Amino acid sequence: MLEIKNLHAKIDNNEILKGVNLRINKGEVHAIMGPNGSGKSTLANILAGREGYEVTEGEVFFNGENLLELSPEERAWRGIFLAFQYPVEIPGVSNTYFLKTALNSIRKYREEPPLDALDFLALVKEKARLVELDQTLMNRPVNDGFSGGEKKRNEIFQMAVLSPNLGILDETDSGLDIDALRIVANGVNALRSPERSFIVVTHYQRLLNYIVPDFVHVLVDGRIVMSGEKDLAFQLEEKGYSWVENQDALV
Amino acid sequence: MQKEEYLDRLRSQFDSSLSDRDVTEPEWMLPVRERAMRNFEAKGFPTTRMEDWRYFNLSSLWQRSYSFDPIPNFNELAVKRNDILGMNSACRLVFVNGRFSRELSGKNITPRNLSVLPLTEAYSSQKERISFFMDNNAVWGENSLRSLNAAFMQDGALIFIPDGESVEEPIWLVFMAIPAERLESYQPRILIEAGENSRLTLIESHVAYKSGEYWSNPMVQLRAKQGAVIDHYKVQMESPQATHTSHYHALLDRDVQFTATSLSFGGGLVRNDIQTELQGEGIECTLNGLYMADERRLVDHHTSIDHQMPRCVSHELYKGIINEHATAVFNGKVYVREDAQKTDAKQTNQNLLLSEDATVYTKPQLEIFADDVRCTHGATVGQLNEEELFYLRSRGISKEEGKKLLIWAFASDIIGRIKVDTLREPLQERVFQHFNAGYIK
Repeated sequence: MLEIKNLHAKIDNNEILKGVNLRINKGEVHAIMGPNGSGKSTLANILAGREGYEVTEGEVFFNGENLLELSPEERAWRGIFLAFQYPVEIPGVSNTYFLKTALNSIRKYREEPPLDALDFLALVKEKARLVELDQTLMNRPVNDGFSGGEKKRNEIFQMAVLSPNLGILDETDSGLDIDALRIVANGVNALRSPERSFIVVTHYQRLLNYIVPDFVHVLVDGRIVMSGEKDLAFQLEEKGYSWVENQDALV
Repeated sequence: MQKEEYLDRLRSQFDSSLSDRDVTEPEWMLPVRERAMRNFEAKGFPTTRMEDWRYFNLSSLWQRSYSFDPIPNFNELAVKRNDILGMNSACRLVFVNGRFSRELSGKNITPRNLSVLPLTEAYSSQKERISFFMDNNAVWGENSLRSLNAAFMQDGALIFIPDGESVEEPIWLVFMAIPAERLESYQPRILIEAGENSRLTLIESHVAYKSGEYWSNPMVQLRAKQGAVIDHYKVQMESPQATHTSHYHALLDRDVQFTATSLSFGGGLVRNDIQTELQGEGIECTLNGLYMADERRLVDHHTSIDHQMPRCVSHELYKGIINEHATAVFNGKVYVREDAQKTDAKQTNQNLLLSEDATVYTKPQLEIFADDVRCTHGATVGQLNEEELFYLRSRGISKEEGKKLLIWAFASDIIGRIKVDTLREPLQERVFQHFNAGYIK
């Protein structure tokens, strides 16, 4: 589904990614862990198409298409979804209008008819239950005045409504207490399917107790220095990132 | 044409307007007009050398000969235009080229608890009320265009609502321009007196029946007595070639709740002056505004909130969307006089620039002479927020659609505050269509 080959990227002339290689198949959940500043969020943002990064080398293919040539909306139409680390507040745009416009844009690309107000409402009701999101928030502007936990739940809720092929969670656990974390993780787990893949970017192992990954990768200084199965996360938690960095030095 | 020559011509227009003036106009108006004319002659047109007119060049006005005796082209209105904002409203006064049209106005323009009189009909019975406004300093202030209005005013309305009465239906004042072959200038005057604890909603719309060049110079004066609640909306949708210079002057007594909303969308050269005097304690004064300009238009707002007494609150929020080569000016004066302790004043001006060639001059101007007050102000000039746009796009909303949505959101902050459904809904629709029709280039 997703293939990242030797990806190098700069921001303001600082090289952040220094040759990332990653292959994700349908239905797999990959965790990307790493210390602060290792390039985890950069990788997530480049996949979603955020401007401001310069890809200097390498390629990314999504279902055979060159992803880096597509605009953010074209990526969304093809089923890429980024759950933001810091969801943006957009005063004046209602959640309902925003999400309906987004969904119908994606449906149009898929050559499906737009959902009418009633069907949309039914879908919203169903998916809001998934992350225990207060439905009255739908009438408010996007993320406007939401608590930290509500914002993160709203991200997962949007993901549920838009039903992507690849969900990228950028530090979704940051700033969540244990109850909110459990709710968010349950939401994500409910969306797992043989057709849908996930990239879970996180600093801590904690989230991976709830969203159990198939693979764990450790990103240090712009490179994946270690990959393994879910046990790797426990080792990291125990020994710290310095352990990996030292291993890296040995290599 | 030289300025002197222009003033000579204006004087002769003035003299002949006096000799064939409306028979309904009483003798006592003569000295009022004469005084206004002299005042204008003494001051002349404002020039860009004056601080308040720095960005607003009026030379195009005196270099072209406007007739101050416009002809109301009623016959062009064989087909009544219901698509013109306000024309469906039952309680409406319609002015065509500055003159009252009974034919186009609502059949029942006088709800039982309110008096709405065309000015020409009000003179005989309302001398005292009219004189109060005519003798007020607002007419004789620094801005000579106000004097010009008093000297040449063709028509207008006197609205007064007795103590304790409230009017449920909004009163619409529709100023329609039907530009003629020759250049014309319209000088309507609206006088509003709101009694103690009365409630009134007014909508003043300036619209063009067809496009063309003209100059509209309307003036509105309000006197709100103790405890009155006034909600005033002004919608400016003049022809793109038109010049619009408007003057609003409000005298507010204690415990008045006053809201004035300026919605400025049309016109080529547009100036809106809004001046409020807070003359009693406990007043709540809200000034909201939304202005949009594209092509080479200029839209200029000068507002003034004068806190003269203690414990008043004022909120001001003006937002602008400027595109292409257009220019916007915002000047917000807030005075807090020595006696105005415990004043709470907040002013915000936000501008969205959609093109490299668009310009905004924004200037908050606070003059505070009391020590126990809270005054804040803030002005922003910026482009669309890239983070917000990326968020929308990452969900599948196209770049163009996302921009429209964000501009719309910016504007709807003001439009959403309009309390009158029959105004808010059509404006929402129009503004949205405006963006859809390629406002964003």
